[in-house]
Formats: sequence, structure tokens, C-alpha cells
Amino acid sequence: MPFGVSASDDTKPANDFLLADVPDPTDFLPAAEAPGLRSIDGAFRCTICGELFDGPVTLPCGHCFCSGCIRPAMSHKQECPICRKVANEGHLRPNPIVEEIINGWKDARPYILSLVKQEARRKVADQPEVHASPAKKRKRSQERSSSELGSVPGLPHTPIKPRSFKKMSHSPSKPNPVKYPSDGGAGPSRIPTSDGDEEDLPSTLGLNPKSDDLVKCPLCEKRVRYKNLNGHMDRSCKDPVPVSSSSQWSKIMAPKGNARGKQKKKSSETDEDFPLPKASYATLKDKQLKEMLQEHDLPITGDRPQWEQRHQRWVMMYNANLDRSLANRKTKNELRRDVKKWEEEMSRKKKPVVEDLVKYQQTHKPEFDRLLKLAKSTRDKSALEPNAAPSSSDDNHKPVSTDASLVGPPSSMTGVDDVIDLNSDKE
Amino acid sequence: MSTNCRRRLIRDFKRLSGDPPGGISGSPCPDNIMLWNAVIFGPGDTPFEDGTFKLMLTFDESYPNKPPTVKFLSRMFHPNVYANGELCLDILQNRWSPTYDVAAILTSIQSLLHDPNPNSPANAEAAQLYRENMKEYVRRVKLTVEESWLDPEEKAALGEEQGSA
Repeated sequence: MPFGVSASDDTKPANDFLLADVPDPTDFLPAAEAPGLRSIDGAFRCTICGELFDGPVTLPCGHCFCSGCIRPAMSHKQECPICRKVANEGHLRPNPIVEEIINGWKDARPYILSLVKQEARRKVADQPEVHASPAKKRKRSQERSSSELGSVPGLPHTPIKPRSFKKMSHSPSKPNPVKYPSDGGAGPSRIPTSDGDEEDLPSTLGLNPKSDDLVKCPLCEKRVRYKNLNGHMDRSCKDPVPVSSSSQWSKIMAPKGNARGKQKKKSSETDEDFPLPKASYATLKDKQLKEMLQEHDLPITGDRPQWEQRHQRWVMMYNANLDRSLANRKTKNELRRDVKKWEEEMSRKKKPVVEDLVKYQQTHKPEFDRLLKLAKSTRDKSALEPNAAPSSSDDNHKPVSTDASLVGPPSSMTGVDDVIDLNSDKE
Repeated sequence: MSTNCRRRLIRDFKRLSGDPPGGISGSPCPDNIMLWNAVIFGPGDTPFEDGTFKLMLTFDESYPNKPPTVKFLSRMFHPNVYANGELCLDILQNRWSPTYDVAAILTSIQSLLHDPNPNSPANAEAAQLYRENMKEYVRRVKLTVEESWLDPEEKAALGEEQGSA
């Protein structure tokens, strides 16, 4: 909800990027209203990218990151980004349990969000006027602060509580809209597809076949011994075949229209699970580096530094992909696309430059005024909390000098006078 | 177009506005998410108390693997802030970690106002006064506090007056 408040404070339509679908722990209500949900969602996220863990890996210190996030981070600094304990890529261990939890959470998240929303609506309907419950305290204080700002057009027409939930409805209706768009989910290939097969299977089983009976495989319709059926299906119907038909199989297995892949398939089939070694580019000649790129069907456009970056990124992303479970893995072509996209992003890498700072402040004055009020409201709030220093003044524009022992009132007063004099001179 | 960096900045904004640290606010420019404005209230019980210091943060696509550039727009008198507003803060340089977000950066800067480090001075005069003449240091800081309440035009005029004086 607090995000809702601030987003609505920005009444400027240009803030399109804030409407982008970026799920975040703040989609859930604070702990006081929905205990645990926000922290669970936060704990399931990589502290580098903020997404739900993708190919989670654990460091010796126990901290967990997306493999694709920690590898680039380690190319800058060989340490854990959280606790700074020394670590390198060799220390990374995939964490399949966390990955499984994330797979479940991706399904559960939108469901829980909708339940929470329902529950909140029910509560509002049941007791529309209850304000005194301590659980509402935080929310109410934020309500108050936002209404204090006075600059929230577009908001007031909505009643207090439902508004926050309306904001939350930005949350995705689908669990993982960003990742693996082409991944059709785990193991769909084993699910019987034709109705005929589905009818066959139960009838065969109904007869209680003996282990040596031949039964029809529901997938490939081949006759298989019943005792071998499970193994046969686990191998996706690829039983060991006589040598004569091996060429046929390799045709099926080989990627379409990729002669190179076809030739290499046999050797790389077994290499598939092994990470690529890192290269020490300083010792490589241009020709060798080009060959290394071509070996992975990567382009050799650009100059030498670009080749190195491209190859380095490829190795990192390739190895990170291996830290995903088989079902979540991307294809090499998807990885190539990712590397291309990354290169495009990096080529745009340029920090915005602001030349005239005074003019900048003038043109952005409304924003700074808004930020000022926001900062003031949070400061006042923390000052009201019992553990905060009670010395904060009520009125910001007449600062109370709490350093009276250090600086006498006269000197601070002259300071103020100076400023005022200069001001009036100007006018 | 939403790159990893942009998605991360949107999250930074959600976190900063969803769970704001006391006396700190910040948001991206409406037309450019790579450029942020921020305001830090001078922490209580310091000479900076009640100052409303404006900052600007600039990001590029290498964020969060590389830190943003952070700059005070308000004039500062602080041992670790250069005359042009840039900061000498370890976490924005060699101690950067990609797990830091905008809220963490701004909180660190707020605490830097609390505890200057005169051993790595960016403003030699401020560092010297901080070590040797606390009274004068406080007076100079308070001038900047009062200046921070002015509008940019007023400040510009003030700067000219001081320059000519």
C-alpha cells in the first residue's frame, strides 16, 4: 500500500515505468496486517536483482543468489555481496530445494494475493468504522501522512481501505510473466495427449497385467513389457535401439537445420552438464578467441574487447543455466538471445548528465517539494516513536538548536539574519 | 523496455516508498528512471539537524553491479563532501555491494552526516575545523542548513553575493 500512496502522489502520467509489472514484497500487506507474507516473499528473492530466485546457488557462508546474478558480481569482487566473506565461482552450489520452493511459490503467490484481497474486502465490509485496532496503526499513520501532503489529487475519491487493495491488484494474475516464456512447464512430454491412449491405458491396467506381458505404451503406442513400461516412459520412449536405427534417432535428436550441432551431438551429449572453463583472455590470440566464439555459434562482430566481454558473459550465463533444474533450463538459443540483449543494454550504458544544476533544481522544484514533505513526514513519524530521540522540533522552519552547548544562540541567530539580509538585498 | 537494471530500480523505489527510512525520500524523475532525486533531512542531534539536503543519483545499466553516482545539489560543509557536491563514501566506491539499494545508499549518507570521517577528507577545511575547532565547524554547517531551506534561485543569488563579497 505505501507504494500505492507514493505512486499516486506522482500524478504525472510520465511515470509509466512505475506501472510496469514488477512484483515485489510490498505487494503484500505489512506484517501487522498479513503476518509473514511480506517477509516470505522477500526471503524468496535474490538480493541482487530482486526477482524470485532463478537457478539459486548457495555460497559457503550460506547466502543464496541467482546464479546469473552472483557470477557477474563475482567478476567484480570475489566475495559474498551480503557478508563479504571471500568466495569465488568455484564455491557456488546449486540449491535445488530452494528452486523447488520458488516453483511452488510462483503458483501460490497470485493465489495468496487474491485470498488476501478477498479477506481484506470481507473485513472492510464487516467492520467499516473500526479504526482503533492496533493492527491498523501503521497503515493509518501512513494515510495521515499522505493526506497531510495535501498534494494527492486523484486519490481522495476512493475510500481509505479499499484504495490500498486496489493498488495491489496490479500484481500479476500469472505467476511468472517474465521468465521462461517458452518453457511449457515441467515434463509435459510425458502426459498422454490423445484420447485413445488415455482410454487404452486404464483398460490395460484393469486387467492386472503380469510383469512380462506386452502392453501398449500410452505415449508411443509401442508394445513394451509391462515391467519395463515405467522405465520406457521415463526415457521418453527412447529405449536402447539396435544399431541399424541409430542414424534415425540422431536425426530426431539433432536440432533442426544445424549441421554443426548434428556432428557434435554425440560428444556434447555427455558434456552438456559440465560448466565451461573460464578463459584467461590476455593469453589468447585474436584467432583463438574468434574460434572460441564460433565454437558456441556466437557472432564475431565488434572489436576485441567486445569479443572478450561476449565470451565471458556467455560462459557465465551458460554455467548459470546449469545451476537451474533441467525443467527450468533455457536452450542455448535462448542463452544466445540473452547475451545479445545484454550487449545491447550495455551499449546504451551511459549515466544521464545534468549540466546546469541550478536550472535542474528549478525545473524539478515540484518534485523536490514533494520529496521534502515525504521526508518530513517519515522523520516526524520516527520522532514520535518512543525509542527515537524526542528532541525533534515540531516546526521545521524554526530549528531548535540542540547543540546549544556547542554553539551559542547568538551565532546561529546571526546566521539567520545574514541570510535574510542577503535575501532582502536581492529583492 | 524493462531491463534488469530498470526492474531493480522500480523495486528500489517500491521499497523506498513502502518502507521509508526516517527523514529520507527519493524518487526517479518522471521522464527518466536512471535519474533520481532525493531529500535527506539532517539527522537530529547533529549540526545538520533540520537541514533539507537535496541530492541527485544517476544510474546506468551496470547497476546494481556498479554503484550510482551520488551528488548533493545543496551546498554542503562536510569533511567527506567535495565542493561540487560529490561524496567520498566507501560504499559508493570500493566497498560497493550489488545488494545495496537506493534506501541503503541514502541511509548511509544520512549516517555520514552523523559521523563524518575526517581521515579521508574531501573538504580539507571542514575536516580541519571538525578536528580542531568544533564551534566554527558547527557555525559553518548551520549556514548550509539555513541555505538548504532556500529555493534554487535564492540560493543562486546568495552564491553570487558571497562570491562578490
